[in-house]
Amino acid sequence: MKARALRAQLMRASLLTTAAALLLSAGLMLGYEYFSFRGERERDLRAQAELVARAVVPALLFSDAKSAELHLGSLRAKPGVRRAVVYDMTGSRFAAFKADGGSPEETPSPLPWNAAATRHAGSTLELVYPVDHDGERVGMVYLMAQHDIAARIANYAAILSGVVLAGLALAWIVFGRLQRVVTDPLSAVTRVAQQVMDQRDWRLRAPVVTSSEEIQVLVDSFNGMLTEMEAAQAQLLAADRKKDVFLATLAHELRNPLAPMTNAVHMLQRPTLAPAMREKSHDILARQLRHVVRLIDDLLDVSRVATGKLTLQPEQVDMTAIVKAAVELIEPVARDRRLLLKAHLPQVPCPVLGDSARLQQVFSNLLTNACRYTPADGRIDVTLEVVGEQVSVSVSDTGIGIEPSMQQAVFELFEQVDKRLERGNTGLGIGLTLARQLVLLHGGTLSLTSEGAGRGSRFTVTLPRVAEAALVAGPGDPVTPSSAGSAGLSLLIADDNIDFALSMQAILELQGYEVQVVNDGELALKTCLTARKDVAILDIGMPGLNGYDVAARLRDAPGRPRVLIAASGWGRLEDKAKAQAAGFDHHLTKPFEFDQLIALLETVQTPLGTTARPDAIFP
Amino acid sequence: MRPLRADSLGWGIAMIAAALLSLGRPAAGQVASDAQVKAAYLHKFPGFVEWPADSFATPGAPILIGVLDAEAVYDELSRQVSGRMVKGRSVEIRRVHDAASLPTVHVLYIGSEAHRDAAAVLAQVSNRPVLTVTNTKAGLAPGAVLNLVEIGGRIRVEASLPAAANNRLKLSSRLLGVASRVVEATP
Repeated sequence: MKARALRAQLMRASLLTTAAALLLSAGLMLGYEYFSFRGERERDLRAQAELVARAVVPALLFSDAKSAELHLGSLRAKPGVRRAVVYDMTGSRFAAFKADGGSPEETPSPLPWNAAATRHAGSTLELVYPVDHDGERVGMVYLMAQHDIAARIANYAAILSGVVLAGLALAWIVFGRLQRVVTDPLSAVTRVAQQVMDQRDWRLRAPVVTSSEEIQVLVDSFNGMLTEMEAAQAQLLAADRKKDVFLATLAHELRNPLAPMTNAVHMLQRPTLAPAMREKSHDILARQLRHVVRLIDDLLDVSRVATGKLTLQPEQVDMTAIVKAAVELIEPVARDRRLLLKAHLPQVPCPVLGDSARLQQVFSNLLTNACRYTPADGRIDVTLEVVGEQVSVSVSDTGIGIEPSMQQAVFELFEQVDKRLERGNTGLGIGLTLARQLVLLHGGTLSLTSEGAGRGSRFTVTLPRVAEAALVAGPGDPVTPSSAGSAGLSLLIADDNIDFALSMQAILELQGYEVQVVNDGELALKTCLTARKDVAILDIGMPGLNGYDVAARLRDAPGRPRVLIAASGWGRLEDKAKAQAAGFDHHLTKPFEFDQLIALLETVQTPLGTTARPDAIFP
Repeated sequence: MRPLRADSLGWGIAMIAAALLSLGRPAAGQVASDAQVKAAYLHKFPGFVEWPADSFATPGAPILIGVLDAEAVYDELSRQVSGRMVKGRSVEIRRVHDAASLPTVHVLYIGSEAHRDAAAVLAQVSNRPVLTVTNTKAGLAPGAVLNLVEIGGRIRVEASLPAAANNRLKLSSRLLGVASRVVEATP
C-alpha cells in the first residue's frame, strides 16, 4: 500500500513538472509567435504603404485624385488591407479606398494624419506613412489592415495543447516505466519485510533486481541482513540448546558426587562404625569433594578465559616434573578403572616458560579424559619428547576414539562425544576446551588424532622449549614440606562462617597447632594486637571490620602476627592484588586443600627473611 | 487597444518639419490661390522631365524657369523656389517681357495673358530643349509640351508627347500618369 502511495506521489510530481515545463514553453512560443506575427504584419503593411506613398507622389503634386485612387485600388489584390486613404498637405482627404466596397468617405481615422504612426488594436493594424518628394512632405498615406492573428494564435494554441497532451502522455508512459524500476523492487522489499515481521520467517528473501545500482544495493543489503538474522537466530538456538544440555549435565554432574557423600556421612553418623569403614567414608568424602571443587574451578577458569580475565604467571618450569605430577595424580583413578597407565619421560630436563599450575591442569584434564573414555583393561600412554625447539607431550589411549567429524567439535565448550546422561561420569565437556585455551595462552598447540570411533585417540600438546643456556635453577622447584617443627605455632582463625572456622580449628589442632577462633573483624583485630599470634588466617567478608581493614590496621602494629593469610571465596586476580595491598602475605581461595594451608604454615617456621617467595601466590 | 506607437523624438521632428515646410505654402485648411498652385506645378515639373545633357553648361548649373506675362505666378514662384533644390539643382526664375527676345531657359511658362502670341512664342523655342507650359483653354493645340487646365475646380496637366519629342525632352511616365490628357505621338 505504501509503495502504491509512493508511486502515485512520484507520478504526480513528475507529471506536474512535465506539465509546468510544457505549459511554460507553450506560453513562450505563443507569446513569441504573437509578437513576431504582429511585427511581420506591420513590416508588410509598411512596405505596402511605402509603395503607395511612392506611387501617389505625382498624383498629389499635380492634383490627380483619380490616379491616386487607381493606385490605392491596386491594394485590392492585398487580402489584408481593408482601407487606405491619401491625405494632401492640407490634411484633407485626397483619395480613399475601402476593400469591402463600402463608402470610403466614412473611413474614420483617429490617427494623426501628419506624422508617421502605427497602431495595433486586436486584429486591426493601422499605419500612417509620409509621402515625400524631393525632401519635401507632400502628403500622408493611411492604411488599415485586418489580419488573422487571433485565428493564427488559436491554431497555434490548439497545436501546442496537442503537443502538451502528447508530451504529458509520453511523460506518463516513460515515468511510469522508470518508476516501476524503482517502486517495484521497493514494494517487493516492503512486502517481504512485512512478511518477515508477521511470520518471523527469516528464510524469506526479496527478489533480486538488476535495474539500478542503489536499488540493487538496497535489496542485497536487505537480503544480507536477513541472512545474518537467520544465521544469528540459528546460532542463538544452537547456543540455547547447548546451554540446556549443559545445565542438565551440570545438574547431573553436581549431583553425582552428592550420593556417595551422603552415604559416607550416613556411615560416619553411626557410632559403631568400624575404623576401616570410617576411613573409607572419609576417603569417599574427600575424593568427591575434590571432584566438585575441581568441576567448579574448571567452570570458573573457562569463564575467565572467555572474558579474558585469566592471566598466567609464567616462569621457567620443567615439563618432566609437571607431567610426572599429573601422572601421579591420576594413577589412583586409572588403577580403579583397571587401566594400564605408562609414562615415557626423557632423562633430560625439558624447560618451558609457563604457569606450572595451569600446565598441570592441562595434563590432568587430558589424563582424566583418557581415563573417562577408555574402557577397563585399556591402556594409556603419556610420552614426553623434545622435538627441535618444541616440547611435545602426547596422551594416547585405546578408548572409544572420536569420529573425524567430531574431532574439531570436541574442543568446543560443552561438546561431548557421547551425550547420553546415563553414561556414568560423563563430565561437562569443559576439560578439553579449557586445556586447549590454556595451551594457546602458553603459545602452544593442542591437537587431536584419532582413527575413528573405537580406535582410541591421541592428544598432543606442543610448547616452545626454552634454550638450554637459559635454564637456571628455577623457583618452580616444589617446596618440600618439612613436617618437623611446624607444630606448636599459635594461630588465629577469624571467620564468620562458624562451621568453616570450627572444622579448620579441629583439623589444625590435630596437626599440633594451637588454634584460636573468632567470628568477627573487631575481635580478630583485638586478638591479633594482644594475644601475640604467629599466623592469622582472616576471612575477607566479616561483620564489623572486613579482612582488608584488619590487615591494614595491623600493618605496623607492634606484636602483630608474623604472617597474615587471607582466606576468601573471591579468587580473582584483583582480589589477590587487593589482599596484597592491604598487607596480607598470602591469599587462599576457599575452598582450599588443607595440604596447601599446611605447606604454607610449614614455611612460617623458618626465619622470616628466607620465607620462600611470598609472591608464589601473588602475581 | 494599444496606445499609439509614436517615437517621441520622431514625432517632434515630424512636427517641426511640417511647421517649417508649411512656411513656403499655404497653411493647412487654407484654399490655395490659382497662382500658388501654378507656381508649385512649375517648379515641380523639372522633377519629372529629362533635358538633353548639353542643355546645362555644368552638372550643377541651375534650372532656369522663364515666366512670360504672368506677374502673379512670377511672384509666387519667386517666393516658393527660394532655397529649393530640384534634382540637385537650384532653380532660378527669369521674368520675360519680350516674347521676341527669349532668354535661354529650361522651362518657359506662357501666361494666359500672352495667350494670343502663344503659338508664335512656342515656334521660337521649337526644337530647343525647353519645357513649354501654357495655360490655355485651347489645350495643346498651339504646340506646348504641357498645358494647365482647370477641371472640376482643380488645376490639371495636359501633356503632348510629340511636342516633348520635338524639343528633345523626356516626360516621366509618372507625370504622364497624372495628366488629365496625354497627346500621343502620331505614328
